[in-house]
Amino acid sequence: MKKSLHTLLKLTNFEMERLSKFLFTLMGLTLLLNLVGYIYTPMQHMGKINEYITQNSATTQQALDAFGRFSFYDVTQTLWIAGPIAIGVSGLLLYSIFIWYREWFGKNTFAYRLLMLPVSRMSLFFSKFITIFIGIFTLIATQMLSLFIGHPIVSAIIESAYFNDIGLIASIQMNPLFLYLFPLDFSYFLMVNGVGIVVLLVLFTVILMERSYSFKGIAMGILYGIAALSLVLFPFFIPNLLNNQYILYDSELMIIEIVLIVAVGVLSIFTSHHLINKKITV
Amino acid sequence: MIELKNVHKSFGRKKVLDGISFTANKGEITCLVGVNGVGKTTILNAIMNLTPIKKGEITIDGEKMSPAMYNKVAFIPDVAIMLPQMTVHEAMDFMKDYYSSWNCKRAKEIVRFFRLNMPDKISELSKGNQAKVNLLMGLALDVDYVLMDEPFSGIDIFTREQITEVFSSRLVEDRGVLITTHEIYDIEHLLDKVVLLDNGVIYKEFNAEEMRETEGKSVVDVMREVYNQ
Repeated sequence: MKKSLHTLLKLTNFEMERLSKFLFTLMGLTLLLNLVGYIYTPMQHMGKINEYITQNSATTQQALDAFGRFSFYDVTQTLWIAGPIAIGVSGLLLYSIFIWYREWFGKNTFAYRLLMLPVSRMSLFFSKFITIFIGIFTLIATQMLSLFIGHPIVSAIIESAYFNDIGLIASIQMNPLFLYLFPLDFSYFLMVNGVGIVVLLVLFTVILMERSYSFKGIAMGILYGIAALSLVLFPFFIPNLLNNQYILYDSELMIIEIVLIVAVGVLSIFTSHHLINKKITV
Repeated sequence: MIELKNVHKSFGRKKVLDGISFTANKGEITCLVGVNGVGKTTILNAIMNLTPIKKGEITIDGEKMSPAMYNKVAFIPDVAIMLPQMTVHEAMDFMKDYYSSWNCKRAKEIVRFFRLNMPDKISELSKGNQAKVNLLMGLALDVDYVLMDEPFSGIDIFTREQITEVFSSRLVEDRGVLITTHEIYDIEHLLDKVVLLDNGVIYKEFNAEEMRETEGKSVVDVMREVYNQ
């Protein structure tokens, strides 16, 4: 047990080293684009106000009436923030596919070496899985750090008379995108991450199906993917399916969701275990 | 002893192995011979559990393949299998990290024998030197069996001579070697056993030396008889 955990850590560390360049690029891109947004968006706003005041010889109050107060929330609504998040999500999603296929189709066929390591093949599976999750949480942490840096920058650029300081936490809470990234409620945190975990497990299983059965595996994988994800997302659509009749409490829906997440997750792990040990081909 | 019993394997509708049974013993060099596409590489992959078989059984000293067995059997494929961005030194460290059977002293000996430079990146090596790195990764393991797939493919004559030298050196002494090759001339005199494959079955299995002594035929002569029919 201790030895297999040590092997898993070594393999995860190895995978992290391979991810590091890409991850640092995504982190850098997030910070850079966010920073541009923290500076450019309030400056643009101040520019509009100043232009309005100059052209119309307007007072501060008139400018406020015309443009309203600017808050940090306005910055978080821009593409400078949402863009890097979208890039990060799609980047890591593509990397989740690449993390497997590079072993077969890279310059050298490293799949031979990995599959011939004297370690449980599930350690390979979990090391890749953990690596992706570390990547996800690193990007989320970067985004959070960036917001902490951005708030004082924005408040420094916007003149206090035009600034509505609703605070950083409120700005985050108001943004629906951040509700997924930084869920404040623990059960919601569990559900968001549970769905994320299961999506990744299903994706890995689909990839292993393709690596095991080639073209037949693609068809199997697509069917499995659709079935598994439909099952996991099913509770979210129960009210719609029942003509907006909310016959279940949120807590009941949550329990159903968690049961389905665990069931699909366990099924994916067992299927992957079988494929990687018995069916995979170099 | 590596033992294959009634092994079947198909790719789609194409039967590649149709009831293959043979053994490769420790301390012997066994050569799988056959034209392209006859299933030689598939057999090696199947032994290493790198491709599933449809039917049959493969055992190594009576045991089925398991992760722990990779410390007992090494496979040297005909493609580069370490990461191209690794240096030779890093590749050796990687092996040392994961294989309890990695023999550092022997690894350094092989590096000297092949005149490899430890700081060289694998991606920057010639094909011949990449083949040497592959051999290094397999031969530096203290294993009972070594499987080699086409170790002479696409390399120059000097590298070929060096690799041939490996077969008569103590690097393979006492081990069971199972090799596939088209370049039979280079190692014919070193072979103990030859398994001739044709159309997914074993056409002939013989002791190379006995064949020479009793029938006066070389392995190549037997191959000509079989494949020119």
